[in-house]
Order: sequence, then C-alpha cells, then structure tokens
Amino acid sequence: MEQNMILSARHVRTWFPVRGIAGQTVGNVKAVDDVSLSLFRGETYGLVGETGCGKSTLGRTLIRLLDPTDGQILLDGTDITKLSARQLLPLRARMQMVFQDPYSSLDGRMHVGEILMETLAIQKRGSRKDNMELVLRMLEQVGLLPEHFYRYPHELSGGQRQRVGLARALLPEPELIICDEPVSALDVSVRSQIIRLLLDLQEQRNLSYLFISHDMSVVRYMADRVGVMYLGRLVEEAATDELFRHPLHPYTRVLLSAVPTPDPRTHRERIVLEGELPSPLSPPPGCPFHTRCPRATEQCRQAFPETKKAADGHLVACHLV
Amino acid sequence: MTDLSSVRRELRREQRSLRVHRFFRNRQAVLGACIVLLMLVVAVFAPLLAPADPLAQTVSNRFAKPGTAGYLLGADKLGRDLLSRIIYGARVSMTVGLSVGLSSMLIGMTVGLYACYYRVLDSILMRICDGLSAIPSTLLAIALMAVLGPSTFNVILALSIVYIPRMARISRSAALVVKEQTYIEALRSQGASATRIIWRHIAPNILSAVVVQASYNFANSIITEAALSFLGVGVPAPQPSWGNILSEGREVITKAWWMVVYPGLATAIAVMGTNIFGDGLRDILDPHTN
Repeated sequence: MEQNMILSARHVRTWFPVRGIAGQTVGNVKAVDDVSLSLFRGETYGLVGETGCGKSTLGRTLIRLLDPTDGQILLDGTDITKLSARQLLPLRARMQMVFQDPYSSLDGRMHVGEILMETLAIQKRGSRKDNMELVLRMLEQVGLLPEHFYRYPHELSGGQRQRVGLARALLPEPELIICDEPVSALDVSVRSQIIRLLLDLQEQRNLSYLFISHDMSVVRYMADRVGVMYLGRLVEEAATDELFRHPLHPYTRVLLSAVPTPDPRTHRERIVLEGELPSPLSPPPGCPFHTRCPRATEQCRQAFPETKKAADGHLVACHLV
Repeated sequence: MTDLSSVRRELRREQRSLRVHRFFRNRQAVLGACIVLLMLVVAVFAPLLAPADPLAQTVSNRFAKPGTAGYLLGADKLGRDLLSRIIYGARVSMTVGLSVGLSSMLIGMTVGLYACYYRVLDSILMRICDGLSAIPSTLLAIALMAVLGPSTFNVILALSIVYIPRMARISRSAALVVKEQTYIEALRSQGASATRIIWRHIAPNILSAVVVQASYNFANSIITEAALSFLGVGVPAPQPSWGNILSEGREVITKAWWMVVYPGLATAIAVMGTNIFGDGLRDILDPHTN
C-alpha cells in the first residue's frame, strides 16, 4: 500500500497570519487546519466543499505554492515540506497543476507555443527544436491542432484554453496533477469534453488527480475517493460510491441533498443550511460545523470531534456517528 | 509535420498589420510621432541643417532682425544666428529627453519590478521613492544641479533621479496586478525562477504603462532642462540650449522679441509633440481605452 502512494499529507496546516498596525500577529486565518490525506497512483481523489472551505488553499499547499505552517507533505516518500526552491525543481516536474480560470491562467502576450516551451525551459530540458517537437505532439494529445502553436490565448475559446493549460501541466510528464476546479468555468458542453480528456489521459499515463471541485455530480463521475472539507478541516472521506450511498457527516448529507437529479419524479428531502460559513479567523469551539448543524448537541458545542473510522476506508469527524 | 513556418509567417503578418493599422488610425499618435521624428532629425542632422555656425560671432550684426540676410530668425547680442542656435539647441533637448526617458524607464522599471516581487525590498525602495517625490521636482533638480555643477551630463543625471521614483511607482503598481494573475502562479508551481518570472513574464506585461510614462518623462525633461538652463544651472554657455537662449533673451525682451519667441516656440512644439505621442501610445497600448 505504502509504495503505491504518490502523495501523502500529514497534519497539514496552512494559516495566514493577520497583522495589526504594528506588524504584530493578531490572529490566524486557519485556511487549512490539520488535514491528512493520501493519494494513490492512478487514482482520482475528489476534494469537495463550499467556497472558502480551504480546498484550493490545500491544493496550493500540497504543490508548495504556499508554505504549510505545520505538517508534512510527502511526494513519493520524499518530504517536500522543507525543500528549497532548487531542491524542489526536479520534484516539481512530477506534480503539476491545472487552474480554474482558463483566461488568466495563460499569459496573453505569449502565443501558445511560447507558453508551452516555457514549461520545458524551466525544467532545462532539450534543445529548442526537440522541445518544439514535444510541444507539437502534446498539442495533438490534448486535442488541439499544430497551427494552434502560433495562436495567442485571446484567439482561443475557453475549452481550447483549458486544453492548453492541460498541455502545460502534462509537458513535464507529471505523475500527479492537482486540478483546481478545471471545468467549473466552462460551458456544460465543453465541460464533458474536458472531463473525457482528463479521463483518457489518466488511463494512458497512469496519472493521479487531486480533483478540487464544488460540483458533486462531476466529482461523482470522476473520483475514486472523495474528501469533504468544511472550514479548513477534512470532515469525511470515503470511496465515492460509499460516500454517495452512505454519507455519515451531517455536512456531507447537506451537500448531497443539494445535487440536482435528472428525474423530476424522484423526491428527495432538501436540507437547507442556515447561516453563513463561520470565519476561519475565529472558528467556533467544539465541532466547526455545530453552528449550522441541524443535529448539533451540547457535546458538539464543546468538544472537538476526532476523526474516526466508520468503515473500512470511511473516515468521519462527527460525534454523532 | 505540417508546414508550420508558413502558418507562422501568415499569423505574424496578420498580427503586425493589425497593430500598424491601429497606430495609423490614431491621428493623434501619428501627429505626435511626426513631431518627435522631425525633432530627432533636426537634432541628428544639425550640422547639415544649420545655415551658420551657432557659435560664430559677428558683433556688427548684433540683434539683427529676423529676415535680415543670413539671419532668418534674427541674431542675438553677439550676432550669432538664432536659427542655427535653435537647431543646435534641439540636440541638447533631444539628448536630454531621450537619455532621461530611457534611463528613468530602465532603472525605474527595474526598481518597480523587484519591489513588487520582494517584500522587504519593496518597503525600503518605496520609502526612498516617497522621500524623493516629497520634494517638488524642479526644486530637487535645481538642488542636484547646484551640487553636481552645470553640464549636459549632469542635467541628465539630475533629471533621471527626479523622474525615477514616479516610474518606479507606476511599474510597481502595474507589476503587482500582473503578479496576481494565475499564469504567474502556474509558473511558480512549475518552479520558474524569480528572474525568469520578473523579466520574461511580468516585464513585458507592464511595458505599455512604462513606455507611456517614459514618453511623458521625455516631454517633462525637455521643459525642466530648459528651466534649469534658463536659471543658469543647466547646460552652460556658450553651448546653445533652448533654455539658455531664452535666458539671454529675457534681458533684451523689449529690444529683441525674437530671442524669446522662437526658442519658446521650439520648446512648446517639442513638448506638445512628445505629449501627444505619449497620449496616442497610451490609447494604442492600453486595451481599456479601446
């Protein structure tokens, strides 16, 4: 099991200090707080949660775009938490990221070819001619044409841009790609094409995906396992089928009840959450979800729920389970 | 492999012609460019264009009126040909304008770029800039010239120091916007070095703001050079500069109006030309005005 693990996070915290006028730390925004998760080779791990729950911050921390405040990140057994930029460079090729916004994720002053060649130049690979060959082959693999090489991003559609973003992530030949809402900015028709492409590439290259999304139906289609985040914490984790059939955490149930179904006759009880997501600057004591939980008890208000194993591979952090 | 180079050539041509077309559609920019170009030509070919030696004195012809044979724009108190002096004065103005424009652009942009990328450097550099911009620019230039002593090179040096802080601020704020773009994040996630990100990715994206500001610095330094020379701390006599011709003319303004009117006009046209050119550039380069 261990050697099949590509990425493993142990008790990762990413806190952003809030500074007062004199520069002193007056508090911490606990965007990611004590999250542990593992990713196996060839697996898709769906990370879901509402806006502001810290899922993007977690993704950025895992790829070392942000430095974790505490905890360990292991890439294929190597602790990358404390590595310098130079030590990290060869490892960075092994984990790449695809971003949500296909517009701001490409430099408008460079044509597609330049953008992609840049990726190889960073890794100091090959001659210009070889790299160009690689880029052209990659364009084909992500469903673009050779003539897109000299196109500027503003001449491309959203879907085509996202394909370029995907090509950029694939060029260093990574084993792991962190997909930060890669399809949520796209039209529905284009969305399914990109998802198809992601799945095909995964099969060809045995890629692992950390798939960050707030769209439960996409996650259900893509992911092998799903983690649910709330207020910087992982509250439930299970295999996709298990999670969708037997959600244990009240928050997961709320999320699932919000997924629309194609059949209008099925009637499901819709649980509507009261209130807003509490500020991660001062998370409530006890269970972070108790302020909005329909089933909260006195115990929830006071004691923090430890993560426990509900079934094989099914973890949940709730007193009521 | 498909014939990519032909595709490339075609696309390049298309994109270039679009840019050229946008430039020529903007009449303001074309007019400004013509004036600047004219001034540059005059400066470069001054020895060919000037009818006489700007330093040759013919005391018998002192204060010759405009139109006198050999003195199209009149003569000064030493009988030197005013037209030739103004033509040679363009050399000073253009040298100062171009040098100050370029040096303040290069240094100011570098300062701004590094300030945007490194936090500690940012607070140090920006405090220095704040300190320098707190002093009125002409006053600062005069003070610097008083310390450095009058010479064309020192004018360039002093004016560059005066215009760098503003340029640094403008490039910093433009760079901060670019730095937050996702594509910079993508580069960082791939392990791109700070030098690569700053110079290959942020710099080209702030260039339009910087170039526009440089063109304003060009115009302003022409004016300020004239002011410094007028006050006697700029380009020293007998080398002609529009400012020191004006200064000499001030004493004889009632007797020889041409001594003030023509160099004044030259300065006004040059400054207006560069300003119009700058505005035109801004319209072309800034996508928000389109």
